[in-house]
Amino acid sequence: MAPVVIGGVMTASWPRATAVWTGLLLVVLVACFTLTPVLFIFINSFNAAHPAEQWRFGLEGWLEAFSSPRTLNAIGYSFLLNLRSLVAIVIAFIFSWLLVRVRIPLRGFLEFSLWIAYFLPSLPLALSWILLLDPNYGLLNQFLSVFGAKFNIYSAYGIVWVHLTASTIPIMTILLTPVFRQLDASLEEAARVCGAGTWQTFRRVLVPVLAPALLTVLLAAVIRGLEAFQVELLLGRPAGIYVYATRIYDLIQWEPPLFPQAMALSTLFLGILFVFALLYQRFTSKRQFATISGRGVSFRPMDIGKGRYLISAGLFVFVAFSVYLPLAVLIMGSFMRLFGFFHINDPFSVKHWVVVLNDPVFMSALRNSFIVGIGSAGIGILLYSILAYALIRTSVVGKSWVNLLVWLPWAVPGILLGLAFLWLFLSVPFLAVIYGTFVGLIMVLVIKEMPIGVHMMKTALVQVASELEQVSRVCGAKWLYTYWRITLPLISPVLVSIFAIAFMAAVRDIDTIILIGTSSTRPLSLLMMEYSMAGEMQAASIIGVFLSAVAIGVAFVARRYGFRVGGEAN
Amino acid sequence: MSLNGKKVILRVQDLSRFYGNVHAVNGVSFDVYEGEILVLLGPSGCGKSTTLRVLAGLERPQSGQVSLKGNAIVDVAGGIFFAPEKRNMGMVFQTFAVWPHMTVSDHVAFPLLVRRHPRKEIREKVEKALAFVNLSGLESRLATQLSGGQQQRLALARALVYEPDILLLDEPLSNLDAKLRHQMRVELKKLQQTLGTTFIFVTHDQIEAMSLAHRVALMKDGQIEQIGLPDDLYENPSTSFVHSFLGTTVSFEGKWVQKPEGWFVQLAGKFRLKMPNELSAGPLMKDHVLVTVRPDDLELICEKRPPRDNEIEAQVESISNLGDRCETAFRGCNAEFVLQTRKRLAIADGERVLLRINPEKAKIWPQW
Repeated sequence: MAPVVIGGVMTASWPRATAVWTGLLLVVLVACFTLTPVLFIFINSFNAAHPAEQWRFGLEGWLEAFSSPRTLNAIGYSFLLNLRSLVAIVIAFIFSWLLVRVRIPLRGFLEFSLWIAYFLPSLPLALSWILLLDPNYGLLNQFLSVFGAKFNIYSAYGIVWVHLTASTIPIMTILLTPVFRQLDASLEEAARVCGAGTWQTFRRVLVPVLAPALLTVLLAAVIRGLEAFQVELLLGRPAGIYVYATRIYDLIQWEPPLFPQAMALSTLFLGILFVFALLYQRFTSKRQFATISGRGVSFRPMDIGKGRYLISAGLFVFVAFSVYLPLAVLIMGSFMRLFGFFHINDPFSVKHWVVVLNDPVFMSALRNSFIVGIGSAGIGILLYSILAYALIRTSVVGKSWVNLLVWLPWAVPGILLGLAFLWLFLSVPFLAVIYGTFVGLIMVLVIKEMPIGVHMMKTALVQVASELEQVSRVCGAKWLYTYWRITLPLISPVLVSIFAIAFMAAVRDIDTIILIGTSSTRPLSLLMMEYSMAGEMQAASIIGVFLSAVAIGVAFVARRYGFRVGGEAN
Repeated sequence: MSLNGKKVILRVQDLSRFYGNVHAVNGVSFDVYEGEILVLLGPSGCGKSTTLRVLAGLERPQSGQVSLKGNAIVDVAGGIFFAPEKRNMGMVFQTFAVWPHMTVSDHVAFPLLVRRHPRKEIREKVEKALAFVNLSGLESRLATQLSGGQQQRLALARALVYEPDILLLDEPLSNLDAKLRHQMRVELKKLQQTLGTTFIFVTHDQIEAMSLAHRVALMKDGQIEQIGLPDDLYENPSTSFVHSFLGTTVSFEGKWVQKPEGWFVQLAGKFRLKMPNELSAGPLMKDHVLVTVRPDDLELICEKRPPRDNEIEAQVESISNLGDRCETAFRGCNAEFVLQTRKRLAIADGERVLLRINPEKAKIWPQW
């Protein structure tokens, strides 16, 4: 369902004083949640005092952080590993073009598989890639050794491989397919009829026309890539490869924690990420795609003859590697007596399943996961919709500030956000009550997903013509009734999508909550991380199976009831 | 083969395109002659655009052949399908399909660039083409900064600059406002006369079709109902669909009856049409018929007397003043219809009047 914009978006005109005060209140409230952690990190990077002492100015943190070769190394690896985004965008561009523009068999299945990949947590996938590509016992390596080849998953290539297959390419493809769906196909067709072949059409028409969208997606991927943490921790650490997120984690793990160094490193990356996030916001806010219009947009997927089977097969191989093979291996791994030991007698057993399922720790983690997931998705939707409504439909002052502040959490990697809030909880007296409760976890997760949530909600509201609301008001309905009966039903598919995304983000999150989760609030994702860091891979993979099942369920709900961007063909 | 000595440039035979169970194009065959404007006309969903897209190479048909200048470019049975860029056709799209990242001159240069023409030649041709469509001086504008009419002319220049064998136009005027549409129609016709390029023009607007076409192919449900000169279709429609699609018609249901005086069509009530002799072959057909007649061939008789042959009685339902004339709604003979009437006629709402049907002009279609 795509609500049609009939008239322009009009904002309710409020009295000047109301608009100023409400706007100010909004700016302060949002800043409280998004600017505080940033300032906290910045200020504390200049703290020369011991964690327990009074704040004292000093540059030690900065000097130590950037004189350490390990830090410089980590920065280097962060950028090097993120070059994968460039590879991924080329592949994702081609994938999404094929999925939208070409009539291929199994298209629905292929697209849905990418959605699953989008929702799957990355840690379990990394676990199963360990089973497949461990240099000593990896299943694929045993096969490859016949040809004298070996691939070590504990390497930069391994990290890049897991990211590319499990997240970077699927996410980019999912972000790009709606772009193609909204692009008037006649732009390509005109080029073809004019005499341009497929390659010329790509190079001279499609890529330049979509350049803003491509850049946006690329930026999003780089931002997300720079804060990636779980895979780097699991696969990078054994090989001595640190990226800056794992390096920060490492610094905090010291006894006593090297907070100033961590904060200095964080500040640098905040700066870099902030610039990226700013650019990203610029691109998304003024996308002047004159091409994207509902007017007579023709699109029927092309028929390309027999080649369609080849394309379908190629995409199938990709989703097999990105979703189904790792999932199958993960399930197999969870039934192993000893993770990765295929050569022992009777390597499979249900022993670990019995142990885990009977473990009260697991059961409480399962419960905690659902509390955290439903809590942050529910509260998130409420908060995001209020913010989006204020930004789109009212005339409050300072909207551009709110817009910027809302994007801020994107520039703050999860681990830093967690760290900042940990510090806040511990140092601000009345916030200490929150520490160790679900409120703290949910609060941080709601902030973390705020940029996406508010952005999607705004897009949805813009599409509901304000006349539809105004006519209800004129008919005599009050504002709240109108919101409940007209606005919400019209954007309900988007609500489902946001709920699904926020829920899954919360359930699979590790980086944001790893520092503030306590044993009483620990959800499945943290338990899985603890198990895998402790080398209890079977238990970790069992939890991985659970989380994957939840992810598939959520992907299914999102697909079935959620917002279908740009409509589906046939 | 020729029409007034003209050569066939494009031959379409038995073309079909299905989407699942939907027969968008169902066994269509026609010839296009060099230098003519052939209009594919029909209601939305009749398959005219799909036909055009198959000709452009943007859709693959499931059966049929297309040959351009005697060479097969599509032959499903023979496994031949030329990609769009291999056909040397031009196309103007309904949305104009201007590229938002290119300037006006980039657009026109594009087809020459991909054909690897020398730089100097490209510059000259672009200049000439833009002058031809009155866009000189706007070379460095972005295409999206142009008005609708200008975008349209740009799309034309882009499609014509490489001298394609055939120009395909897919409802090119439907995105323009009424005044501009009329103006562009005249310009298009002049342009085609100057260039002599063969046009295949798709539209659902019968006025556009009648005024532009050398020949019209009227389509319905994926098939061609009738193809011929515009006047032929208008005057001698081969089906009741053709008759009512080209201009308005009033239709009555009736039945053949034979009387000593000859054959009649008995309409609802006591009214009957006496048919001219040459139509008396009609009765050999089915009993029930549909009589269609143009409003112009219905004459209003403001006399109080019983109806004669070829006359029906109708009641005036409402009269709307259009300024220079009136539009009067009638009900009679199991039909409701609207006729243009002169002003200041002595008729009023609810009054019963007589209407004389010109039997020479009435068309009679067997029903079942």
